[in-house]
Amino acid sequence: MRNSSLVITVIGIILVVSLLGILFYPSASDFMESNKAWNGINSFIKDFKAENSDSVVNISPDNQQQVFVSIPYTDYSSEELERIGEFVSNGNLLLLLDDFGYGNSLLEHMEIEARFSNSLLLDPLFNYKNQYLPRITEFSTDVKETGIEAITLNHASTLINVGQSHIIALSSSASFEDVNRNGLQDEEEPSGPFTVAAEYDYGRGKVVLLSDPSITINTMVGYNNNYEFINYLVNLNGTPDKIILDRAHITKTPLDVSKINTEQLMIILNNNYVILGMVVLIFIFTTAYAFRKEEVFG
Amino acid sequence: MSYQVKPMGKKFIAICTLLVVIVCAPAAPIFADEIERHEDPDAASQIFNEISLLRYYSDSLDTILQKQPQETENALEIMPFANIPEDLSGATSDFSDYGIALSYSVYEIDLLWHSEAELLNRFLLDDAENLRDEIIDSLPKAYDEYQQLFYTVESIGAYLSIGEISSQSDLKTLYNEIIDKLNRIESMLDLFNRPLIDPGHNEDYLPTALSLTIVENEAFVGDEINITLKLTSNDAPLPDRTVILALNGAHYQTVNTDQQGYYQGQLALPYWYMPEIEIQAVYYPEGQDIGVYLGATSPISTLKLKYYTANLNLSVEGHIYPGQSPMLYGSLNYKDSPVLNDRSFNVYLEDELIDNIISSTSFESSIKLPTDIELGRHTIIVSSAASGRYAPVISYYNINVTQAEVFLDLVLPNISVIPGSIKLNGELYSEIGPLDNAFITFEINEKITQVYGSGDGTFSGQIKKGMEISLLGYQQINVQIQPAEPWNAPLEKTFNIYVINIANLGIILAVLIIITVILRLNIRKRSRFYSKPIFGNIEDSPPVPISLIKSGTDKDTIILWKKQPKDGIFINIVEWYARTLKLIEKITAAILKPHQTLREYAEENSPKLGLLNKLFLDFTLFVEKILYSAHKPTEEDAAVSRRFSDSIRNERL
Repeated sequence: MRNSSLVITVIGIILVVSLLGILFYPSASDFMESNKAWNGINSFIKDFKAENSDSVVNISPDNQQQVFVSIPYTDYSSEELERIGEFVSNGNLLLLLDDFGYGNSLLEHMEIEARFSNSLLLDPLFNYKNQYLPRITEFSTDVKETGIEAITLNHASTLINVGQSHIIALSSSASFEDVNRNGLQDEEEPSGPFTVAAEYDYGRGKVVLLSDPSITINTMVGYNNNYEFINYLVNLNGTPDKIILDRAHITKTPLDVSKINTEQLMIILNNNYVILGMVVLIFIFTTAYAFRKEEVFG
Repeated sequence: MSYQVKPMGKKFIAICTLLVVIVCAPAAPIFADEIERHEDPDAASQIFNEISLLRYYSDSLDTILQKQPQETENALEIMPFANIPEDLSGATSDFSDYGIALSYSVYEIDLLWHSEAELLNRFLLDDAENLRDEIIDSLPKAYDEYQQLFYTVESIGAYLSIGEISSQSDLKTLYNEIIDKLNRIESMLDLFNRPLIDPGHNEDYLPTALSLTIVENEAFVGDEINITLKLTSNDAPLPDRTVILALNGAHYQTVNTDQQGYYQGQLALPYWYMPEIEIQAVYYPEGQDIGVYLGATSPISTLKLKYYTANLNLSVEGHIYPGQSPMLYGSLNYKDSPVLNDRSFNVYLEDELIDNIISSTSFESSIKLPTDIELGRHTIIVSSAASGRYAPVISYYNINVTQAEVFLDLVLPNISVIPGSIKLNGELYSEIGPLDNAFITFEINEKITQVYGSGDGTFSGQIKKGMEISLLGYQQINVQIQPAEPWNAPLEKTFNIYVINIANLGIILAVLIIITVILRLNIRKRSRFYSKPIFGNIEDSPPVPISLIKSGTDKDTIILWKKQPKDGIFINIVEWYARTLKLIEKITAAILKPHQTLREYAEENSPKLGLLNKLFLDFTLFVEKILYSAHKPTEEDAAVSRRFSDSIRNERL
């Protein structure tokens, strides 16, 4: 075998193995669709038939009855703020799930007075297993009428500056804000109840705030009435035609970025024209090779 | 003749490598803050907070005392969502059920009782009696609910081992608070239980009126206030009658009216450190008054209570490590209240009393932490009992008991050669000081050495490494430190050391040298395997297209061909070559083209043949000579042809 053939073969094997690895090796990152472990978001995507979006500026503000689910762990650019504002104002719903405070820039841009506090909400009594998994049992009348009794959160935060009429859910009076994150209620740390979910009208659309994105991860969706609560929130503006998950502001590992790039490449390759072009090329090469062989054999 | 080997496509390989790097290179990751966002609930630890539970129950009993049943229900109906141990779930469920039921019972009976009093004041006796009947019917249920609630609280207390806990602990304090509130609920029921009107009344009942006057609007706890009450019936005084003074709905004192139906006296206020109390006088007909007079209640008077308070601020300084003695500092801020001199303070670490201090405004105390104290959260409680007008003071301070971080300075050689020993020297210290007699374990590739440190924190050891399967490279040394002092934390660290396995390297080098020598010899031997046949002037033979051999279209060669016998030596020679040609065509995947000469074909495919190259070329020249020269082939030529063919075939195999 010629040396160049050997090199080509080796490179080809590396490429194929790398591609297979990227495609099939599961992600372990939070909120990744390809992650089927406890902290992925595979169940949410499947249950709510959500589509991933890797660019906020690509969402179409002209359509209505859409829901944009954003879990920001990075800042929004000014262009993104504008686009989201336009999107909601045109009659769509923004479901903002935040426990770090990155969403506050969006709220400020939309001139909504509520803010994510970035404090850790702990409930030493009403919880699942320990205070970091608080149970929420206090809901607005509309929520109670749907039969929702309790939801379980996971390392949640709280909302501040929320007017009474905007509150959807509150923590119990046994809860407190662990400002210094030492797991103890110190003297200056306030006691509950605290707002954890709220809704606001914006233009012809709605903004729904929830101070815990973890409610959407695989292991949490099935606890208490978490699924029903998410369903209630996404339907607040009417039954949605499309639910879009903002992947652009979720933190990613190199594997996740490679998976996304590969997905996009697969989408391009799945195009009918591209497939047709590739088939034609293969046909041409095969035919040329066959003719060449015919000449040789005489 | 020269054989030209095509050069490797270096540019092509470089481009492919670049493509691979670009495609396979990791994309830039996107990270955010490194704070825990969530945990796996299935793997989460189960923690039950009993203090939170009792505090919640205490607050819910307040709603019963305040006669707010809806609040009680809102608070207790969500208890199924509380994190309660399985063993306690029955008791907490009972608490919710009986608590909600009792709250509604108390609320309804209270409404009835006040309505009864109102009706009596308006002399609507029948209606009042109906209400009394309703109260009498409702009370057993309320008492039963109360009793069940009390038992439930006792069973919760037993589960939490309240009896074994210090009275100053949070838990015991809350439990006592709950018991106290339950007692007040019972007292309230007792008040409802006493009839203002005797059942089976007659129309000759005489109405009564009871007034209560309190001079002061406010008073200090423990002080005596002047009260005046007057009991009359149809404006006539009722002398020598017993009147109950109730504070906050509960029986507090009994007084008797004088001949004029008055009572003027002093009421010693209890040491209840609360903002205000409600005082009410209640007359229950007794003895000969039963069946004659109606009962009566006075309007409720509210009295503001005054008392002195102080804020106790606590702080802790120093190392909060097991075995250490951090300093507790306390300061009392009386604000506008006068300072109480020589106040006694008890200092508790969890349930254990560790110090008693007499001070006025500030103090300090050394908290000796036990060496076996559990790491994590602990509570320091400082309390001072009530003293007259001075309300009790209690303050909590949470400490987090940790261990001092240990630092390891390890001296390692830059490179280590094995087989041999690796020397390890170093020093251990923490912020408290050097580690004394620490137990140190070194491990490298499952080889373990253990030493003890000295009093000044230094240590010295070595790991012996024998033969192993490695050549050269970094190896990991794991170091585990177990301090002897309880205040120093264990430490585990990993270091890398470059190790050269001189023995293995030497062996491999020797093997490589041997292989190289043998290969060289083999190659040379193979190149002298056959002797080149000697022909005269082979290059002069004109090349002839091989198609003539196959198809026989050239006239001259046909003649030549026809002149040769079709069997025998000539055919033999050509057949051996034809066999070899077939094999070469398979090896090179190149077919002999019609326009090609044998020589052209051999030269074109020689790079693909490797060691066969020279053999085949010589064979080709030999056959050309046989085919196209005037040389008459002999038996020897046939043998040579066969030898060529066999050699090529064998070499290929």
